[in-house]
Amino acid sequence: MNRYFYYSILMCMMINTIIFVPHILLNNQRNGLVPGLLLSTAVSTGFTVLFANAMRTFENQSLSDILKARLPRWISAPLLIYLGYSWFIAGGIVLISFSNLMKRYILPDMPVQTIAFVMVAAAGWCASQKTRTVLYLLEIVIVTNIPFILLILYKSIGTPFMNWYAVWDAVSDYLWRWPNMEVVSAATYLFTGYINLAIFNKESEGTFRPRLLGLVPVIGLLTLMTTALIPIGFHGEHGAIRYVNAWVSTADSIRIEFGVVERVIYVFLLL
Amino acid sequence: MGTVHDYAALLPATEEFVRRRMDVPGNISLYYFQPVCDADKIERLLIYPIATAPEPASYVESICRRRELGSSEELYGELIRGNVLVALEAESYLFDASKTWNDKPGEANIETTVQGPQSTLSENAAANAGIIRHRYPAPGFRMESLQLGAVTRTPALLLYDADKADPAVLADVKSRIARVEADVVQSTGQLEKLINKQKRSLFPTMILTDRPDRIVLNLAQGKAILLMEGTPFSLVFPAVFYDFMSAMDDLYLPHWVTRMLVFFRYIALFIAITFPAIYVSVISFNPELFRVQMTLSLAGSRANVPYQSYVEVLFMLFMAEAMTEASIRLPRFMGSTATTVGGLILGQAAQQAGLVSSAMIITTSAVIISSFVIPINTMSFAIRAVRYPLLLISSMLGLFGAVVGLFCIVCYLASLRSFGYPYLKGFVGEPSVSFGRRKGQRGTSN
Repeated sequence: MNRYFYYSILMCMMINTIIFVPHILLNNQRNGLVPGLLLSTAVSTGFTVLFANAMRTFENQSLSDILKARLPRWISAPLLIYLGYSWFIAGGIVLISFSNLMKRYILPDMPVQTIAFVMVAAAGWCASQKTRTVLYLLEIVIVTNIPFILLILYKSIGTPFMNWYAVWDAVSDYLWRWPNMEVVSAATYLFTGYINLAIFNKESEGTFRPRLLGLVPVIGLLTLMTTALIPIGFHGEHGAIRYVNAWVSTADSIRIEFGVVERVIYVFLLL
Repeated sequence: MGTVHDYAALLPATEEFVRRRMDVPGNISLYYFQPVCDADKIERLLIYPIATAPEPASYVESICRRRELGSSEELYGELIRGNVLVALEAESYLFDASKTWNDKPGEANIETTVQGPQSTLSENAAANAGIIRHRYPAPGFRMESLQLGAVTRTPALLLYDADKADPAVLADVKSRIARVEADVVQSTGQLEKLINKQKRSLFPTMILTDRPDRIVLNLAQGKAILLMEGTPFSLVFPAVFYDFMSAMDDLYLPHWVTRMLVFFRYIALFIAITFPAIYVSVISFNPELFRVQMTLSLAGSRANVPYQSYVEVLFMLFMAEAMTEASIRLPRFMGSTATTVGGLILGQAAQQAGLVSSAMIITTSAVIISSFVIPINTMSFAIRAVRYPLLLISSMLGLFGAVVGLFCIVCYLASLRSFGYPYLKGFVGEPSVSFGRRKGQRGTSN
């Protein structure tokens, strides 16, 4: 357990904007959006700390190893099958929504099946490598992508089209409302990267620095705010709900006037 | 159990095999293979002193090393390496009279530096070991001799610093070399292929270098070196991706200059791999990626090109590859003709004839120049090969394909291991050539 743990959390935070998370959050902006975000940050941080501490007691063992060793077979086998399926579905959601995005914005002439097939093939091939290889790949992808993400953030916050009044409106009007379940569950998605530790725990390398765990709620809350509030700032409280992929449309509204690539949407989607 | 004379009699009586009986007390005979021995040395140090010495037997005992030989094969093995068998009564002594070939250090042509050492290794392994030992006087230095190839029995030397090298790597190397089953081993590049675990490799997992300064630096970093007789190139292992991107100049230049140069090198790497793919996808799939003006001028320059963009790219890239290959194979004084014909006539005329667009010519030359920036040659060849799969997938799927392909290449690189060390990994933490201390240089791209 080491820096790779944080990479997997970061990874989950990064991909949240391309799946349904912004959509759900924006649809529920009247149902206690901001308290929901705060609540889910607190809850997920607690889960993260609990899970990380629990896995630290089992060095160099993945969840399946632990379950097999500690539990009778008739409990561990169905549990593993259940977990495997939920992972499969989680990955499937990301892949399918991403291929839909690709078809909609980049390759309109290509059948969506082809795109999904290519992605599944590439992802499957990479995932079938050794665990350590996947971790190295994860690190390289994250380190190379973060500058671009910061660039998008900077551009989106710095542009004159961002209406801070709308954001303030959305936040202040419904600040004291009890959040509903949908908001909390969608928002906790951002933090679910810690679950990958169930597999990556096999490869413990280097020392774990628990102090960095304190950064998880901070970065998580910032990411959540970005996810939910920047589309509101761009499209307005009512406008943001109408988009299917609110964030992609937001990114499309940003322009780098003097950059080589003018439309930020490409930078955003191709990451 | 026969005597040495019996063993010698079993050897083929060819012209190269010399037997000489000397009429001196003690009944001394000399046996050697003429082509591999230095006749002058034998004359000067064996025949003349033995003939004139008052006690030839004690002279032989002092100048030669005693060696019991068990069979005629063993005798042959010793003789063919340039030893002279001195038979004194029934006892056998060996005298090393091997000829040395090409032990002059060459000039650094392959991997040049601006202001580093300008000489390379020679083609003689023992002389090379001397050059390296001279530059690396640490007490931990170890040298082990090996033999490679069933027919050639090429002598090789394994050098490492016992205080720093990883014993697991050394054991791995020795076991792999022991398993080599080839008749003829003539160069270290061939050896790399033989001891590589993969059957079909693309990226090099060992550095081939003829620069003594790089070798010494790697020794000090705990890596192992393999020198081989007959080639100036040595094999350095384990080697990770970053090692291939570092030039020796990085050590001799100021910190920020080095950082900048390494950064440029990675950009060049990115260009060399992805430019053809990006060109195809921008022309054929996503012309809206760049500004409208750019799109228009690209379309304008392609106005009289009748073919699809991938045909154009393949044509141009093939011509460029052929030109590179031709200038390597041609004798040096004809090389300039090839580049003139290729560069000037082909580039200019192909564009005017409407076969390729001028944007394509710019792309091709950017790609070719960028791929020459990579300091280690084997890596630059690998990069040349790797752009074609990327070109293929991006001509089917556009930018999306290019990104997926790049992702797969990075994944493949990350899955490689060089003697147990991860090949491509962020923040390696191992000392690199580029920077004296720890460094964290990041990978290629997405």
